[in-house]
Amino acid sequence: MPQTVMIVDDALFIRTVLRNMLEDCGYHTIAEAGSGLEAQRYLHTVTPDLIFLDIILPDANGIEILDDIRCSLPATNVIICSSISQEQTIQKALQHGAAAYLQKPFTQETVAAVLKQLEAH
Amino acid sequence: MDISRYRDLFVSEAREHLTTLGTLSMRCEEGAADSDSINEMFRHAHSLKGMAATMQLGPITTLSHALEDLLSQIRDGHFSPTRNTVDLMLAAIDTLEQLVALVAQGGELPDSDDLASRIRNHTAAAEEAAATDPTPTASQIKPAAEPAESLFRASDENSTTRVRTALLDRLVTISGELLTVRHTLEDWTNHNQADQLQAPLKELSTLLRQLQNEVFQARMLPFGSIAERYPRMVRDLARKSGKEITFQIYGDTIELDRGVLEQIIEPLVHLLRNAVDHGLETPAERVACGKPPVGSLSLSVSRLADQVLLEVRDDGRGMDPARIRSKAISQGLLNEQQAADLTAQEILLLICSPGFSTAATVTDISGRGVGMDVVQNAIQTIGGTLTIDSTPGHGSIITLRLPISVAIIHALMVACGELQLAVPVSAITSTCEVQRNEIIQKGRDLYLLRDGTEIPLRNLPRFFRQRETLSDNAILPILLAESNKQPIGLLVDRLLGQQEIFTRPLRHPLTDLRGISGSCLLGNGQIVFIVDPTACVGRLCTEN
Repeated sequence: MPQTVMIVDDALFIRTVLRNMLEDCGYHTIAEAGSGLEAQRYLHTVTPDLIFLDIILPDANGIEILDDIRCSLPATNVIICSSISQEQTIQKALQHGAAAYLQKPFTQETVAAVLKQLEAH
Repeated sequence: MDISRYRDLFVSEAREHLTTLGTLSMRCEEGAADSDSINEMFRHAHSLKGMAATMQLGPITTLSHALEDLLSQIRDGHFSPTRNTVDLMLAAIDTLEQLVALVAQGGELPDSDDLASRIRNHTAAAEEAAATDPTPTASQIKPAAEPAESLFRASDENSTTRVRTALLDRLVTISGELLTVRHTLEDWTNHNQADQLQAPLKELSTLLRQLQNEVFQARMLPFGSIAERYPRMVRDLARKSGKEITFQIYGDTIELDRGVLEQIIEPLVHLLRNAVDHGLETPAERVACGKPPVGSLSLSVSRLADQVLLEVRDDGRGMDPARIRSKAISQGLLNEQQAADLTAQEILLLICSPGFSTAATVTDISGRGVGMDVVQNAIQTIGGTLTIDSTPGHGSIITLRLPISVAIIHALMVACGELQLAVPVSAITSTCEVQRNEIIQKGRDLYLLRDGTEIPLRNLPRFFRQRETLSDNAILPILLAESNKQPIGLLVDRLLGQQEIFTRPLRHPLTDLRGISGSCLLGNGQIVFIVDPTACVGRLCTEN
């Protein structure tokens, strides 16, 4: 069974590129959300193994959504995926329970590296 | 992995971000930008930066990053945007739009470092100024250099539209049901059960009607989809002519057929430009007449039954009917007597006559520039009308009444010799049948005698080379229309009745057919041309 993924990002472009890169790594995207509200709606019906979560969303801050997911779906790994490169933000994401931090712009290689890091755990 | 395969998706989404950024930055200048708007702008710049970086488009990444930083400083309250700030934001958005257009064409991108560093310097200077002195400094509030010529995005060369998924679902469902009905019909035809065909045929008609309605829904777009370009244009024009203007758009959620929308983009540009250039006064002139220094201009849209009303309203100097009347007489457009018979509104409409509006001095007296005839023609082409209200000293209102959709129209079918033709009902004022002796002939010209006046007639069979002479019928049907507010008649052989037709535009080499504006296909497969009475009549006026 391939691992299932949900992608939360307001840009359709980013979701599409990431979904295709994940497919190439053998991961299956079962849901895509463009906002925090949409993500929460999906999470009532699906339980992905992995969530890629942007920080700056139209209606929410990704770190707050991360807190919610850690409470409601403790078995789901969350990877924060953002172009914010400040160390402070990265540390905050990890402290709040993110399994990894994927820096934008990502490439097939950086995506594969993050997935490998996760599989190693 | 080849990232270039995502180019179209990138371009389409980047354009959406830039459109929103453009609209929101105009709000900044009007002082109406709250922290939510600034935050939203920041988010769009941030998303664009992320997307561009993923696409490895350096110049777009650099510039959107500079814009993002500028917005984040404003958002965090480090300084308030001035006119200079907004000028820079708009310059960045314009440049980004050009860069995205280059991406769309697959071209090389020039670097954007100059503008990016100007934005960064501005950010740093503004922060410093705000930190040392809480009131804006002189350098911050002085108007920026004349803005560059705005670059509006040319109409979408791909003409794509986004359709709501629910609507597509309904279209799919109806198509599926149509297929089922077709199979049923085939089945019964094979078994020769003709009487059984009634029910599926009825169902087929219902489904086709539904399908037609839904497809038309898919063509509808909100007025806002074209209106986003106007605030920026009005702002730039006002800056260039030294005028202060508040510009408001009302009703941008009202939906119109995309065909109608495409046809009114340019006429509206013209009407707004005229209002800014000639209608509205400079602050000094306004104060001298006891008006507030800032002029007001609005564009409002509303629905009225199956029509859409568009209103361009300004509180500028208005138009003086007396001066328009005397100008029209001196231009030889009409004589004293004809002018005396016109109502005030009809006199204002004289500015739409080609002869009148091309006069160079017209702007001084009418408060309106050249090209109103072009605007009126464009509106009439899509079956709309234009009216003008104006009070000298108080401003003008130009109202456009437009059909919601252009593709399906009511047409009067007429016969001219061997030809069957369709005439849009909206282009005809009335029809009548006259005796042969009511028509008088002067040389090659025909006139209809009505209440003592001679109405010029166009013999359509002759116009379309069907026959040189009048038909032999004792009773002759005539379609009455108007050209420049003057009645005019189109003589036909027979009236065949009214019908809803689906219009199709003509393509090369048929686009130059005189007097023909389009075509339609009848149920029996016959192709019928659509007559444009103004085009036939225009030639008649010239000949006469």
